[in-house]
Amino acid sequence: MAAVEMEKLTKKFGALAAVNHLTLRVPEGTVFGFLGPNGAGKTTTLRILLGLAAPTAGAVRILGENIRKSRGYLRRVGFLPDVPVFYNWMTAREYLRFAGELFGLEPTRLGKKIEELLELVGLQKEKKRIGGFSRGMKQRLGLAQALVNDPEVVFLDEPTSALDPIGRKEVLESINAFKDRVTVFFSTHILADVERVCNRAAILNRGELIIEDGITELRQKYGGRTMELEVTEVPEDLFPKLQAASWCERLEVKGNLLQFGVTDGEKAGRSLPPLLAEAGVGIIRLESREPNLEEIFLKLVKKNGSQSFFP
Amino acid sequence: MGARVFFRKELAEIFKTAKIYIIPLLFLLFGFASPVLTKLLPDILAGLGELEIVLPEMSWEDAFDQFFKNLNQIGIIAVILVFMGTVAEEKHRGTAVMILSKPVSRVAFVLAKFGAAALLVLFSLIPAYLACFLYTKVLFGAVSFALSLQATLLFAVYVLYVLGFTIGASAVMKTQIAAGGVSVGLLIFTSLFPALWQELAVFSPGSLTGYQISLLTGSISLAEAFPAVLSALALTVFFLSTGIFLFKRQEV
Repeated sequence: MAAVEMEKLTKKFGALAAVNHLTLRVPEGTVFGFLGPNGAGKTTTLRILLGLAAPTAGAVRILGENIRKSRGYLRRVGFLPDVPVFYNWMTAREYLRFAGELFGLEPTRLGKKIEELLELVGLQKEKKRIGGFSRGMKQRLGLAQALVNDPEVVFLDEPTSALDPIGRKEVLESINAFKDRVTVFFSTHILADVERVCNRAAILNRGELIIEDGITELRQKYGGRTMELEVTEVPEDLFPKLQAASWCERLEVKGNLLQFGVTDGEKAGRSLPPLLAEAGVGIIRLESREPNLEEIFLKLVKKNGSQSFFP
Repeated sequence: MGARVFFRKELAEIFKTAKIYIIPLLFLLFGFASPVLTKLLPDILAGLGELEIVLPEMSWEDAFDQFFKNLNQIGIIAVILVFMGTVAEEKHRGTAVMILSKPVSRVAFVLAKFGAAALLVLFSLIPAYLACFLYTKVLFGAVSFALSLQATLLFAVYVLYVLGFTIGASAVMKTQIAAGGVSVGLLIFTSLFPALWQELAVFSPGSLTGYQISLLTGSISLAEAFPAVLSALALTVFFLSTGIFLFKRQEV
């Protein structure tokens, strides 16, 4: 059974389709990256999945339940919004107890669960009220409350985007610690995070699904290889020559470092040395590596005509 | 389950925030101050100097009259100010998203808030009434327990009605300022209604404020206030139901 299934899901705000005929299937047990630039429709989709907004058209089943017919599935899922907001007068323990009680959890079991979760997110020694928490601490508490009911699916909306590098690392470590026990639906625009924790991803742009596949398969199908070439000098005519080569794409020059994607490795291997020799350029270092998700993402999103800037 | 837990959280919030001080202390202040000021009013006026104002002798009815005037004016405005953000602020800040993505219905969300607010206001009224009763008894001698209690019960119905439309507006509007604006508008309309449509005044919740005083002086009986009481309770249910109905159609 799929953990999450969407069939032609559409959400319109006037004439604008924030989500447009989105059909997606998230298998149980996966850590699913839901990728897209800002404004792609990720948060709108998540709000529909959690019953916070109604779709204009389409169907959604979560853990086999039609979400428009019953809210019962909410007992079996957890949710962390992009900016979790708590009652500032509560402590972390009080909030988790309150959240657990909303699910009707039995007090003794809940007590143990709270301690387990606080340890998981590194807040077990925190006694102060949530009002005094840093953003990172709130995000980690948000993760803990999303897990308080032992959910079968946990939805995370941009859990790291508002955090500094330390906070981001802490949240990703927490996700890594629980991802084997639950299906994770991880919405983000930070590709490095998806690479660190996800095994499957969908890319959304302007409300439409561009691609959905395993991370490894995405790399194989859409990546090609990326080359980094450090040379003695970069004469003026080298850049247009490389750009004109049929096997070269995404060419960037940073000082004496040339970086480009290779669509046909064999052809590049044969053509590159004479091209450099003809330009009178010496090779200091030549490195070929697997493409990262960011490069695949940019390639796919650009192909689909996005104007969005990506960090 | 969700409603009960959320109601408990609402009560805990009242106790851990300034809400626990504002309404009870304000009502209690009116309870103490109204009889004292009524008693001292002739002396205060006499002390003003040359101007000679002759006042009839003050009675226990005047003390309670003052008590209800304070409650119906400043007290009601304070109730609106304290509770106008009760749902709107949760929506605005984002705390509602954390709750409504769990198995808590929007009906439970609003009713738990109304229940907790009603409990606070009604429990604030008890010590305030007792204070007013005791001070009036000490300062004026005779005081009718039955009539003063009946008048206080009419105020209790009126304040529940105000809470009904304030929390209903809070469920519908996006910000607490907007909810406060709608609530004050409804309060003004309620106050003007009996004068504007005199033939319907007997069914108007707005008549309850005047009935409190009329009950004290014996110019009406409690039975005569029943149509207004019933319509106030029905309108409380109407405003809450409308608020919930519209809130359920909103995206949070």
